[in-house]
Amino acid sequence: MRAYEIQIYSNGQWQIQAIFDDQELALLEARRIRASRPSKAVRVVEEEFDPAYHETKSRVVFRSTPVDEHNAEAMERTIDLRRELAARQTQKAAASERSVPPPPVPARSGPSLVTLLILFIGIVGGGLAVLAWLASLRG
Amino acid sequence: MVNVLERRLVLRMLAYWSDLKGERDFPTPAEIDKKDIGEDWRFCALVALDHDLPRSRLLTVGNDLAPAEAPLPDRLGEIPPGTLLAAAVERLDWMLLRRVPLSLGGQLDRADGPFLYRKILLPLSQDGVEIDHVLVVANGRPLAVDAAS
Repeated sequence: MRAYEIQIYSNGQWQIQAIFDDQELALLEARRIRASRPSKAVRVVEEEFDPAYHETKSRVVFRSTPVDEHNAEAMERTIDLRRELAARQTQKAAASERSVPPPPVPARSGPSLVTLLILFIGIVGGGLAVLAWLASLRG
Repeated sequence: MVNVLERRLVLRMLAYWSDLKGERDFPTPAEIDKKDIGEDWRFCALVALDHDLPRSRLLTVGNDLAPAEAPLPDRLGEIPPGTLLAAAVERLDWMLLRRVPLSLGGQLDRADGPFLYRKILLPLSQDGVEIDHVLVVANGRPLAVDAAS
């Protein structure tokens, strides 16, 4: 037969408060005690008598203490903080992607603008010089 | 499985008992007030314990716990077997050994079919040390009702 003992930690030891043969009922009562007496640690111990070995096996099936609740809250806060940090890092990475300079434009093949200008001036200047020479021959 | 209504009754009565006792180990029998218990009183019986358990006296028995077709018994040893009241007062020895409320469920085989019940035994003490009274609370329903719901 299985029995579920509700125990409260008081005066340095676990004290039995009630015994149930129904785990669900025991858990409901343990949670009620925990809610009504927040400073107390509460646990439910399952006890099963093994007639073959004439021994009782015990295991804790529920435990709730002020420390457990504090740890759960701290864990929750840590998870929230990690999420926030990850979100910030994602935002930062996206922002830095936008500020990266554009890749350099590959150089065009052929003469540059300056070279073409010099060539143009040379051709025009040469033409003018030829015209001036022809004009001097007529005169 | 026992219905949620029986479970609620057990937890309600355990909460009532816990509130009464406060920081003590047990409430006194005089503190049990049927007006405070209200509708649930019909599922309750108050027993004055004797060292010889079958000689323990039934001080009050709620309407829903009283055997239907028999005179109200005076002592535990006189309760007709197979009734809800008989099942309700079983395992008093276990409760006295552990000195805490004990809630158990079970099944009665009645002429009209199986009947599921749940009970709780709530220890009471006049001097705060010796358990001399017990508040017995039990209710249940035919298995057919559970199967149909």
